[in-house]
Amino acid sequence: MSDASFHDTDDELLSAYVDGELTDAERAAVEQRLRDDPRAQALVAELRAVSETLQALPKFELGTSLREAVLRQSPIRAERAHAEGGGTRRWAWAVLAVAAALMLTVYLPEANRDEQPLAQAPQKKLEARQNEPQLIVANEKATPELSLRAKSPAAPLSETIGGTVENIVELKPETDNIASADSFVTGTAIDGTLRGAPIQTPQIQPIGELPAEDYLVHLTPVDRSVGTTEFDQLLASHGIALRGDSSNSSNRGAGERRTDLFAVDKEAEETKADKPTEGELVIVEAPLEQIQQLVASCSGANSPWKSLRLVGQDGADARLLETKADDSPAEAGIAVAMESLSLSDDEGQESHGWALHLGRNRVALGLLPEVEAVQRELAGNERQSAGEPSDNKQQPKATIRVLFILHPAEH
Amino acid sequence: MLVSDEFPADESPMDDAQLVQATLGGERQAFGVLVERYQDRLFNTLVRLTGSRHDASDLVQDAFVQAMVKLDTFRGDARFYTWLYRIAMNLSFSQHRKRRPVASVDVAKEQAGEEPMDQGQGPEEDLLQTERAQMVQQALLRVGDEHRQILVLREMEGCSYDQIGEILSVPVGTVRSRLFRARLQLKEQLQIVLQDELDQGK
Repeated sequence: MSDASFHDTDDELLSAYVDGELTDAERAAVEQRLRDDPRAQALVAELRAVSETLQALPKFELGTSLREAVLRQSPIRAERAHAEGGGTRRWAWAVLAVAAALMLTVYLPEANRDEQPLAQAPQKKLEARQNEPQLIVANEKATPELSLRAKSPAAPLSETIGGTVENIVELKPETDNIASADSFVTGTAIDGTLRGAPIQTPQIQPIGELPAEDYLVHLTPVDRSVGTTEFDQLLASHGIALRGDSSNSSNRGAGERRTDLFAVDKEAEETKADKPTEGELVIVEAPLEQIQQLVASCSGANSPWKSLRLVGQDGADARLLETKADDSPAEAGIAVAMESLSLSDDEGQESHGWALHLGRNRVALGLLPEVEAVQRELAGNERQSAGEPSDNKQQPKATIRVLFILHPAEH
Repeated sequence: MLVSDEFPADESPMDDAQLVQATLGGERQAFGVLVERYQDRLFNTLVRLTGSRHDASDLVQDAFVQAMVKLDTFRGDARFYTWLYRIAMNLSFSQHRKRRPVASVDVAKEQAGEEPMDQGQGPEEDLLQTERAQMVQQALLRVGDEHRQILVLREMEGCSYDQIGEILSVPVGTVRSRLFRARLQLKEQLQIVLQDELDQGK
């Protein structure tokens, strides 16, 4: 049966009629039609029969309570789960956790160009910063097992390093300087992927204020042949040039309109033979469309990226993209966001994360219609406020900030 | 929001929102109440969606775990069950995609003998009902994901068009047309399954 032969708005009304989902006017029209259209009568009867057939299916029950099993797998939540802090605080926590797992050392970029990289910074600088909101990263040189993929889901992160800063301090008493972070690291945006990561007393170094981002993007390469170089290329191919410390070994272009705030200290990594922890934190400020295209381009069967997770500020649904698949309507329209596709791998690891598995996802991505609408509106407003002609000229577009976290490949 | 009224009120004096807040406040057992409140409803829906009791059972558990992990992202403007349902649905889709192609017939066999039955009927009637339910499930599994999903939302969950639109992030007009096509597709598949059964001399 081809859809076309039945794709008739009038017949759709019959289906909605069965469901009692018509306006009064529509219902009147349908009832009028039913009075002298035998085909419509038959169709209504068939549709109703189909509906009743499904409704008549017996109900399944699990038989046992999942309560204990669920609670056992779920992280122990901190008492103060809902911190008063806004997105910045939450991000700060997320970044702390990610960075700790990545064992990254982070430089201050641009704004603090005159300062020494903090990996080499003397302790007094750390102390001087104690009263500011700070980004904390871990500088732990060991164990590739600290990578994000937990080998065992047994020990939730919250149990290991705690859902609140108090717990962190408790576990790492030698790093007194992070106590200052108490003013902001209070959220519990615990990453599903991080649960179980055996973080081992990393040195925590505050290195600067973390701005609030609109989105957080976790990106994981398919294997170790892919790393920061490819990531830089990805950014560059979407017109996002990175500004950064030119002494840094990564591929930095000259300063452009986009800013990266953080770059990875490669020195620490070079001490390791196989560079298992090559990762990167980059903040990109770009028009929504540009970010969307970049994220979308990570999809596909031949993509060097294995997974991509898009998280909205304050952890809410980051409804930025949806899948589009003309040849497979069943796979279209899935919002790619936190609340979207699972980050389960074949072994079932990380099954509690939220992500899109790019390698297996052969579905193209596109902007959600509502995002497009907002974009158009923004563009329109800016055109008006700028008093510019509506065409030809390069329009100033609303930018969003995205913190990209490039994770090291696992193998 | 999904229909909540369809579900009998729990004896627990706390409503979903209160339980969510309690969980966020550190009372883990409050989440356990939510689990017990919704596990069977979600399970039934997922069995119909996936065709496998085993998969559905895993999915229910995974969905609850994810929900708990991400509970602080739950916003009060949606019903907890709606939110949970979306989590489960997305899990189901991603896992389903990984395992393609799904052998729908095997799935139907897997649950043979496990169909719940109404009490008080004779054995023959039970058998008939079981066979019939299996055929319907088989037909349902032959329907495309998108269509099966909307059928389950409408017929199993009893969602209104508005609610379906909210869950699937599509306009009501799309709900209407998709549901219509889904029913036609299911009707066709029911006929095919029935014919297969007849051909096998049943």
